[in-house]
Amino acid sequence: MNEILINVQGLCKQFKKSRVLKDVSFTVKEGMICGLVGPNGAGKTTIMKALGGLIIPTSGKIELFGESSEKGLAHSRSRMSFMIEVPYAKQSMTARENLEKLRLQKGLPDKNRIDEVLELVGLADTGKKHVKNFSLGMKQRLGIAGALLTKPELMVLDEPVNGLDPEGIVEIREMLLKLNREEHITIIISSHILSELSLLCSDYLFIRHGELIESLSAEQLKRQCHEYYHIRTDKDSLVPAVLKNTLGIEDIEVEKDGSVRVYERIDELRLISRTLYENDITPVELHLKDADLEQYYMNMVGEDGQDSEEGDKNDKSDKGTAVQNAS
Amino acid sequence: MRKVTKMINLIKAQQYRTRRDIATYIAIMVGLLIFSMTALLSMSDEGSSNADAGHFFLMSAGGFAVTSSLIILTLTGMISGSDMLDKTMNFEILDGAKRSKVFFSRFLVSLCWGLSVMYAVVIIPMIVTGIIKGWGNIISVGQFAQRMALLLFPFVRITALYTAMTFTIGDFRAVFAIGYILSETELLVEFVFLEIVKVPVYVRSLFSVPAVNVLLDVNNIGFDYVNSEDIQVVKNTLSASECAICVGINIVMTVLMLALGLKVFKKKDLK
Repeated sequence: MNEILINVQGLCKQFKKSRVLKDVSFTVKEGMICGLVGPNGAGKTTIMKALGGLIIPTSGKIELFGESSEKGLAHSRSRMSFMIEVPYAKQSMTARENLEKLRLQKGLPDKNRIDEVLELVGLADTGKKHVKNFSLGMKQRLGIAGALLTKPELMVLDEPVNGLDPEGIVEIREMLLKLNREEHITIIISSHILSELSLLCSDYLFIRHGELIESLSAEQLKRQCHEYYHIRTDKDSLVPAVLKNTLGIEDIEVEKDGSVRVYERIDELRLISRTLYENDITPVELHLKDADLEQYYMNMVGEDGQDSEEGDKNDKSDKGTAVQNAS
Repeated sequence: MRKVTKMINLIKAQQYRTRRDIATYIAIMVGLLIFSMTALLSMSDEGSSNADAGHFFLMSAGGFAVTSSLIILTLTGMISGSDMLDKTMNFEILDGAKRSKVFFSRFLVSLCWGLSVMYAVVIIPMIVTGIIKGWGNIISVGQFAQRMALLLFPFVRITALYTAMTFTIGDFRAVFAIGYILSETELLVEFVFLEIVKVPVYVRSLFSVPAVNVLLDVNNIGFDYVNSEDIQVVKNTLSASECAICVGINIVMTVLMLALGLKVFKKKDLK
């Protein structure tokens, strides 16, 4: 079983009167690439800063590699690499000088590692160019180089592809996947662009207004984004058994409110409807629904601070016709 | 597995950074220039033709307290404050360094640079003048050395004050402004009070600029008859009890400043 590397329980943070994190709890297991998804200002960076010890939580518990004491957390952080916000760098120094400072700070004996990471992130030929003259993309690459200077067991990356060109995004994505697969580095990565994370992540944490609103695996997310029939009837509890026994449908999910999702026989609305009537079940709602990643994201986190219910109304496409007491 | 970040590594990284920062050298040059100019202007005001090293020290001592305070302020602000402002200090905490290590490593680096620059600023012009004009008789080398050695304590205390202030405020530009106003105010208040009453050493030692002035009080100049001629000599001497009070209060203030600074920093959210 994979070890839990991060265990956050009831994390709260209040800045003066503003509550920026509200009772956030989650775990990250070894080997995951965990996407922290949410709009700007949702609390993603605050969570990462709390993990890194930059901000002091108002309440709650953070456990890294099974350690939660101040000393233990500091020790655990030495097994991690962070890149939070726009990468911090001395503007009047070159990329190599910045990395040399980091190397000294980390107490790494191997000077060649600087050349390796500069090569890896494509900054090997920046020479004496000062960081203040770098583009945002180059600064991001330098931040990633800094995070890779040690060989961490866990990387925490805040919007790492922000400002990169499409080619750079692909390069960084492939590099992170390689690090995860070959070096077994667990990664937490934040973004407000779900489609970007969907090519990378094994798990997702959706954040909105400082609250963790959903935690999903990539498989579950994929499923959420498939077409399905949303069925609500007067006898919801009977629906899965009826559909399974009569039509042989296996791929069924029961929602918290009792409604049912059917992922098979998508073209057979009439058949499903008739089967339910024949079994003395009256459909109240029978929709064909789907949501692509972006729609799903909008539904989850809302647009410009809209509530998810608002997002639900506006964004979820509704291809099927509502069957209300259809006969 | 990588070991936990050690304080010596933080110090090495900060030394590396400070050596590469052109602002460090600008601060040193400006300090040297201010100190030399103050001394030279004082000597020209006095119309002194006998500008030996001893006279040079006497003439510069008046402006030395504020100059030294400002040089330490500049270096401490740069070493601690600029890293807070551009957030490169965050790397140290993210790297697993305890906040106490981050705090004390910067205090030590600031101290190392501050003391080196201060003593260089005082001693280099003295050596140059001494080589050209000789030492002179106005103050003995022993007395000069004693005062220089004792200055270590207020320098450490001023560094502690500005380190604590920088870690509390975060923005070194604000620290510069506050530090400058504080230094000038202390100097002015001390000057006014000394004109009215005799302020005891322990009271002056409670404040940073007056604490330096206690050790540089060389205004009482009289005459001694040496080798068949009258020569000017500094009559102020520091008694053992005054030295002990000065050292003791500076140590207590240093500990107090560092404890307060660390306490605030431990509870501070970093941007």
